[in-house]
Amino acid sequence: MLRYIVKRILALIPVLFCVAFLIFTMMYFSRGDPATMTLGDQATEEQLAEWRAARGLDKPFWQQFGSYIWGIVSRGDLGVSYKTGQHVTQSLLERFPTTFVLAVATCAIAIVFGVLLGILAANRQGTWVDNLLRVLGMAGVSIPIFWLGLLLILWMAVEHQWFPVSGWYGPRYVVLPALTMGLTFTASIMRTTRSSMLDCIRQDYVTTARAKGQRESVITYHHVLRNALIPIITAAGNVFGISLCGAVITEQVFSIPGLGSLMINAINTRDYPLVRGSVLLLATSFAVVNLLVDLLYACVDPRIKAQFVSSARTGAKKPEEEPADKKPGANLQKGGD
Amino acid sequence: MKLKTYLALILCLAVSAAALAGCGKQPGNTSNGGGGGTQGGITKDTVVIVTSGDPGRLRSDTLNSLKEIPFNRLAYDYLFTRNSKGEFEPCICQSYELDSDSLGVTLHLRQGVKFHDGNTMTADDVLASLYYGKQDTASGSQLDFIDFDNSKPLDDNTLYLKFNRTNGVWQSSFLAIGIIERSAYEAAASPDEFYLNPMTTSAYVLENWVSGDSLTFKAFPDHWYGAPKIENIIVRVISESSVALMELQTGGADVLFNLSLANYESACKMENVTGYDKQPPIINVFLGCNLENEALSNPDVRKAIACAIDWDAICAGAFDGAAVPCVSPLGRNALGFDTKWETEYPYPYSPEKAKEYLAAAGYADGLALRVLVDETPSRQLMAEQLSNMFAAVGITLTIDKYDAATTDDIVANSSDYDLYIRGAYNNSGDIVTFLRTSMGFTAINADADKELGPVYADYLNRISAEMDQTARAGLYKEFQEAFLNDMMYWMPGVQMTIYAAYNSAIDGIEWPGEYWIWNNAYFK
Repeated sequence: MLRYIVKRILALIPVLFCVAFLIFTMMYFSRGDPATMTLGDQATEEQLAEWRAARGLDKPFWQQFGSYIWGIVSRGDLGVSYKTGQHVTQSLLERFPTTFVLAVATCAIAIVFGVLLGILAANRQGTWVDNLLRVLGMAGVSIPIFWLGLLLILWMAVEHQWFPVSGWYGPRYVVLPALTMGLTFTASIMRTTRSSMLDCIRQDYVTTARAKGQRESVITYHHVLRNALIPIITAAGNVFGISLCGAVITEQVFSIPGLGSLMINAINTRDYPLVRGSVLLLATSFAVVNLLVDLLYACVDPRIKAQFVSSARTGAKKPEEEPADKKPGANLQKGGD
Repeated sequence: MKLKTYLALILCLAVSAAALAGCGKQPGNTSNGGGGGTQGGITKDTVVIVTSGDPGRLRSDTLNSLKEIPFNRLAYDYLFTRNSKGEFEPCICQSYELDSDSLGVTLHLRQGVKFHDGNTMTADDVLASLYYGKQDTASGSQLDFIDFDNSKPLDDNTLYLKFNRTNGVWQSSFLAIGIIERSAYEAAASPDEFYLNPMTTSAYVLENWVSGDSLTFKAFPDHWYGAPKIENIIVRVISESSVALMELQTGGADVLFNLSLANYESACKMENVTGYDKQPPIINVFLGCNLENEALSNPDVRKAIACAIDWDAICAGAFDGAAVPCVSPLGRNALGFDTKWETEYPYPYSPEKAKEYLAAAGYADGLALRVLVDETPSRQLMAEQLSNMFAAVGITLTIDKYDAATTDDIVANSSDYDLYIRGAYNNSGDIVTFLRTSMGFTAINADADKELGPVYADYLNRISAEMDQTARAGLYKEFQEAFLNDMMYWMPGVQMTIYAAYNSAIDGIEWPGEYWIWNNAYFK
């Protein structure tokens, strides 16, 4: 298993190199002069030329890219922000925890509510409860985040003053932004949970469990849900990744000093080092999230763990054969049976 | 089980660490920043000013955009200030004597001015401020008239500056160069490091700066103007204007600036909020022309365009009525503005006249032009209105929309446009600077005069060199005559009204010109 993890981490390197190349090329060929954006329109041609030369922007593309990559590989140096003069690494380290906390809170809300509502919808399939939840789910994925955010601010912060309007100065400030994103993602997780649960509810082992007189709650949570977890984990992983990368609008609405707002400002001011550093960090985060999701699969489903192990061993050992006396319903996993 | 345990442990640690790191502290002290009257009974000693963007660094010239007017004097003091009539008033420099040949000036500096570290400011610090300001700031290009080799302190409070040419706008050139402590600047590892928290003489000391979130300033009790009455000023970054309005309503903010008319009217309806409006002396939005375009190089075509534009309709439509049309290349409060143009503007809206000019230029069958506009909503609306107005006179206008950085780049470095809509707010110098940059940002270079054209360049050079204010005003009047009757190289657009709203509990704020003074402000 460890070998599998190491292989996946090593596989990140070419991925990140490609990401770095893509973002470097895109920023290089985009219009807009960072010198003018930084110094303003009162700068002279000489000042602008001197500024560009000091940052190597007058060199050819390959030389600039080579210096950039060498800086990362040799010193872990992502460059210096054109606007603030601060090291990009430092700027990212200041902002990333904020976005991370927001993403975790968003995921927590989305998973808790999404899974519970999805289970409810699956168990009440065809009833008015199911229909209502499906409509709410459709509404949830359709509602724009900024609109929902402003609505929650008006209701909870201005009208009732339960929470602050904006900012990021303590746990109370996390609630509204996390609710805004969480409610949107709740809908997508709910839909995934419902669909996955419905697939598993129809399986033979569930019928067997019912026939044996098992309680419905045990069937739902210990048999059906555990087998339905794989797509839910995938959806949750996507939610977390999107929350990390896509919190831009939420951060703008709630004035949260996170990675999203940092990146938007950097793009608008053509702060190349900051844009590249942010994109690389987000790409790395997304890749790590995917890895963790894959590892969670292994925790949840032993069959997948066995596949990981065998693929890491380069085929030296065959997978164990199933015991001959394994009864139908072998998918029935432990869980208070 | 082992893997699950390890994963669970790692996840818990990561989440805990991020939670501890990610939730920051409230900026400033806990004495409840923000007004609005919802925290009654608590002594107010903190004002919260909202800005739409983090300044990035505290160079004095970067604190001169429209959004920084309420707080751009918190970090620096300057040699002079400017009042609402455009007249210079003493600040760090109390008086001065120009040499008889206008090639030098002796500045008499205020005595006993302290830096935040307790050291006393000297003439050497002021000279260093100008020298390093010229080097480090974009506005420093305006100081190229100073001969630093022959400038020197005469004593601790007297500074002699030698000029290498006469410069009628020499005082304006100092408006964006803040006074810094020489020893602190030279001890810093780099200018960037110094400007993260510059050592200055201002009324407030920067205490904390959370990038992208807030700057916290604390009163400097030894300020030469007097100890400020309000102990703390927090500048909060809130980019969404409707959220800023809600903060004002709930007491999370005390001062909002550069509001739209709709938001200003909403703010004025709030309890405990006072509204204030003002017009700056400079044109805020104008329509520039690419004079290399064959059609636009013809003055009749430019005059046709001027007649085809209904600026009243644009003020009402694109700017929600929060702007007035310009009738001159100078703003209404600018030195030398000639009031006769209010009634004698040569290009009132007239589609028929526009068609006549086009016919005279040989474009009776019509003309196709492209206009460049950035992402600002009001300018995009203006572009759409122009398209309709031009269509009525036979000009087909295509709108090219890009972000601000791209439009600036296209105008400055290519000819891939015909017209462009541009905004300007320059309170760091004389209007002469604006008149140069309104020609398309290529003006501040060695070939500036060639790009401006001989007549335009000649006027600007003469205005810049004229030391006497009255004579300069006369030259400005002549310039307006020549520009409007003959040149019309660009279309004077609109002057926007700046709207502000603030907590009614605050009194004593001074807004003399392009900045606010907080020294005498207090909570009632």
